[in-house]
Amino acid sequence: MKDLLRVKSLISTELETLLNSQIKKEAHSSAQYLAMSSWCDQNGFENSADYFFAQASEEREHQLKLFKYVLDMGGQALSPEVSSLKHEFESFREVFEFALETEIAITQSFKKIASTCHKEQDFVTMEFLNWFLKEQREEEYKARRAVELFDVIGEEGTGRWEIDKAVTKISYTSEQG
Amino acid sequence: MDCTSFIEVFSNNSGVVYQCDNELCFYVEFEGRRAKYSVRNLKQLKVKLNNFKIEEIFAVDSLNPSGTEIVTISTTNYCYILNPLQIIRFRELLAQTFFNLHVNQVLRDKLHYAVFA
Ligand SMILES: [Fe+2]
Ligand SMILES: [Fe+2]
Repeated sequence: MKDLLRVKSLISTELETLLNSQIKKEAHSSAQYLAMSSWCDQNGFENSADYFFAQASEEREHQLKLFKYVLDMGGQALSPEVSSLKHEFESFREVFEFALETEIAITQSFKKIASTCHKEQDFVTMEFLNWFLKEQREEEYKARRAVELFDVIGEEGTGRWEIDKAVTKISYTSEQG
Repeated sequence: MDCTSFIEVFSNNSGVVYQCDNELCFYVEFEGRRAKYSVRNLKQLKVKLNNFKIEEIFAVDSLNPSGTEIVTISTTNYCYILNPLQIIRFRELLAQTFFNLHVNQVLRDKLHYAVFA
């Protein structure tokens, strides 16, 4: 008897579900970063607004990358609904703290998918996931660095103005030298 | 049944599910009615049946006190009108079917593809 589930799809039903929920999370991140961009712009932090605007489009790319993989492997990719976005923030600092929280949640979520790949010995999907795992190094690094700026520069006086300028200079290189 | 490549995946009092290796599809007989499903459609049928909240039928303020549900799957012409008991039976039939399909998957991995031995 043929294994029709396998004939039709490389990925298991469980991984398909997990990848679809990741698609939803990336879509949510993208929309959330746009909301942050809007808040920053309205409060005079134009560099941070640009920074989050760019982040939003990166998250959208992540969403599409996952979406295409599910389809290419024979699965059913689901276009997600996005809800419960946070539009209001108490402070400039809170925006960045929230961004870091979001990135940590995304990393944790990828770790869970990776552990399912190991459990199922789905090395094909694991290899696909490696790109995202590496990406999360950068994403978390940048988000953490941004929060640190608030302590390094300080918010007093023109502090927030300085922080807004410094945000654009955050970059991550995994190699030395 | 004229097809020789029919293999019974699971059967019980309410019905039977066959797999056809030639057509790469499933034939589902539920309470005397037969329907042909692709892998994708069979998965969808399972999801739809599982999404019904049986317990809500018995709630005092139930929006659907008769408990009758209509099940259709896009790209097929089938339509089921099911009462709560039939929903439970149909779910059971498909749950066992998918369980057996997964057992088959494990066996094939071990015997046919000879991986993870
Ligand atoms: Fe992302
Ligand atoms: Fe991210």
